[in-house]
Amino acid sequence: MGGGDLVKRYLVLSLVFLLVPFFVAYSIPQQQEDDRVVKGWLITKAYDAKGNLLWTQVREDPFTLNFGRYISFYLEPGRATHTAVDTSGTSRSLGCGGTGENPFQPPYFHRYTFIAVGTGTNSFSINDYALTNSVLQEASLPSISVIGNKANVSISASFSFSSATTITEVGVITEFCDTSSYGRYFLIARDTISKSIPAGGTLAVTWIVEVNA
Amino acid sequence: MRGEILVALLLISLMFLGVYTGLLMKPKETKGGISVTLVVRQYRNGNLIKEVVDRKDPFTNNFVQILYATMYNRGDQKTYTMKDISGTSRSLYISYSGTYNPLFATGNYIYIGDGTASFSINDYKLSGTNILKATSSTPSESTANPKINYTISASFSLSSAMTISEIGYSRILRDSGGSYYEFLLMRDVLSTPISALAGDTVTVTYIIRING
Repeated sequence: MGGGDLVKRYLVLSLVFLLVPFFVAYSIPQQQEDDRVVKGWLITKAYDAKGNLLWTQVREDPFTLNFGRYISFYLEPGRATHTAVDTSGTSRSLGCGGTGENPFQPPYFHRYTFIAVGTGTNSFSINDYALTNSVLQEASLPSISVIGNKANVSISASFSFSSATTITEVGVITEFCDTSSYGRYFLIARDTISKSIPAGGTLAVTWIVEVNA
Repeated sequence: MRGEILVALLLISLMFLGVYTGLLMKPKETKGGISVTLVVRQYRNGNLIKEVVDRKDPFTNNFVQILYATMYNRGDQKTYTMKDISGTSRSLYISYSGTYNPLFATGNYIYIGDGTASFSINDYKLSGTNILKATSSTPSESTANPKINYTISASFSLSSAMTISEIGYSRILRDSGGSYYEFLLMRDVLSTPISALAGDTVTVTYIIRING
């Protein structure tokens, strides 16, 4: 064996010793301590035109800063306002008509919560205020169930596609009232997925907030 | 022989380098959710003598109703039933403003108590008989994408000895009749009780971690 062959052999051996551990470490799921008491589950299911279930995906959906601002109203000692960024990207002070008023006031009693799906691929940020490229949105009424010490609050929506589509993001949008007494829409959760729905197919989306998970 | 040892060492080093860079480049998935860290500290003569850190703090059904109201649409004057700390069910317009806005109220409190009853989602008060209450601080917010933390705290100066085994958080809210009541939103039984003496100071800090 020549010197050149020996160098080649060591080079290949070095690459094997470097790359194999790299890919093993990269692909093994990380075990992390899970101490969460509230989880946001995103369940998506796709059906073909004949109603056959094609796939199901269960993911955990992160909350946006808007959701945090909502929670903080109940940690306040008194009447307060908090800002949140609406789906147009405009920062709004929450509280229907002024500081200390209820941000959950339904203007004209027509408040809506939506599930929205889109084709944007930007990774999640707590500062997300809209889907990157929203395609469809559907209003939904929530349901609540309590089993033992656990409670689930869930909303769901269904989307029909006339042509084959790949959905890459899902979000939850709700309406809060600002200090000018206008109803504004705010993204409270967003997640990225990558799933295809065939022409004539249906995508069913369910978002479950599990308390005392 | 020496050359072979060097080659072996090089290959082992490359193996560790591969593992290290693989872990480093592994994409971190943001799972979301909410965690609550409860920190209880006991001070005697100004010195920290005990600290209990618990990561559970279950939310009560009152909190669940608030979450539900957030997502409820159509926005009619729907009432939500929550149980005040006297055990009486009250109707609230959680998603309604105007005269009976539930947030048109002042007062948030942290409790310490000697009860040991395990948590139930239907808890509306602490379970013990020796219970102290202190005004909670205004929440502070800190963000480090994708995480958001809200911190509230309260301090108790004990005039008599007590065993602290449970902690709670409550908020004053206005009901649909315009009256003010106090509602327990969180309760926790400590993993390790604290035996405190008269003169001790106990601080309680809740850190509500979103996406953390």
